[in-house]
Amino acid sequence: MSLLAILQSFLLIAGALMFCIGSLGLIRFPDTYTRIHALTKADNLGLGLIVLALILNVESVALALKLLLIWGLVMIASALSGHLVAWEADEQCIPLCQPGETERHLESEDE
Amino acid sequence: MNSLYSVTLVILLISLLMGVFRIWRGPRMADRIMAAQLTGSTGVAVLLIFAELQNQPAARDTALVLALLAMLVAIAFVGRVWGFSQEKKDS
Amino acid sequence: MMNHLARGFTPSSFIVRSLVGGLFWWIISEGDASSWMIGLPSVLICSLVSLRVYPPSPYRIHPLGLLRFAGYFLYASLIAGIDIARRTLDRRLPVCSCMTDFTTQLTGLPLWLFMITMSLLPGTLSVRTTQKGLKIHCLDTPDKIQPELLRLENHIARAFSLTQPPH
Repeated sequence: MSLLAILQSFLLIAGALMFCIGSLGLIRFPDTYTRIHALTKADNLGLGLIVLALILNVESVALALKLLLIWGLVMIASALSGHLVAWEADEQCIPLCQPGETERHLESEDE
Repeated sequence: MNSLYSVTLVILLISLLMGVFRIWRGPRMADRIMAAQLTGSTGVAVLLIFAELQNQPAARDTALVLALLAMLVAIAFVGRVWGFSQEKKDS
Repeated sequence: MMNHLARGFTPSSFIVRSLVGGLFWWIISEGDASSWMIGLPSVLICSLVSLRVYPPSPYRIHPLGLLRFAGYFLYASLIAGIDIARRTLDRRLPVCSCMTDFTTQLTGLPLWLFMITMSLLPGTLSVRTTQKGLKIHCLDTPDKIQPELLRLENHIARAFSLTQPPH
């Protein structure tokens, strides 16, 4: 395996694992706001690493820029939607919740 | 190299499954819409790898459109589903 | 109608927007030469329409400042991802969910950029604009993230050639 291939495999696996960490954060974190933190930041880095890995074996400049453009678009999309959902959550007075506490008044909706 | 792409795809699908768990649990719409956002960005990653694996350049354009759609979903969600909070503010 | 066209239209801004639009077309078409038959007219028409809808902004972009901001942003978003991984994988879940306020002099486009980029930086998430500045949700105690926010604000002020915010 060449050095390039090793770097590429590292970036791909690391990127995919970052996505998993984002999803794990979405499950583990205590309230809506912290979940937004976990998802936007982890997914942004995960996609960035995968895009970097794919750029390494692209031959045209235009295609490399296109991959970067897609990453930039997803970056703006996740930051913007994270902000919008946090804003509406605040507007709805969704309470803050620390680790260990359960989200009260809501568990009944599930069961 | 191809097997590595496949492994990456499997890990991404596991990540999606974990997102589905949060949609199931909720408890609020905001949590669910963030899980939908996860589907969008994971979908973009899957499509980009798919384009490389199957040599299908058109999948990259699909990824571009999916990125735009994921943003529109969040904007539409804030505007429509929770629109009544805007009315409350105006009055 | 002509007045509006005259207000927004300057040759230099038209050329700049056409060049940027052309660059985007070149990227999206992956350098396909035959696509310019459709691409060139679309880019020119879009530049003309965009000048009417969005007249040239009064901000002076500082190229070196913008480059340094981009470098800082990429580095900080890498740190943000690692920070999330550290918190998520820790058995004790070291997360503190709290709100804080941040006073800022930024307005318009720089303020928008500030809010969007902050959401991808370690431990900060912009919630809403308030009378004096911003309401921010943070994953740590507020005094830890305040210096980071000041640094980001300085980078953005420099990229837009604004005077240093009074702090």
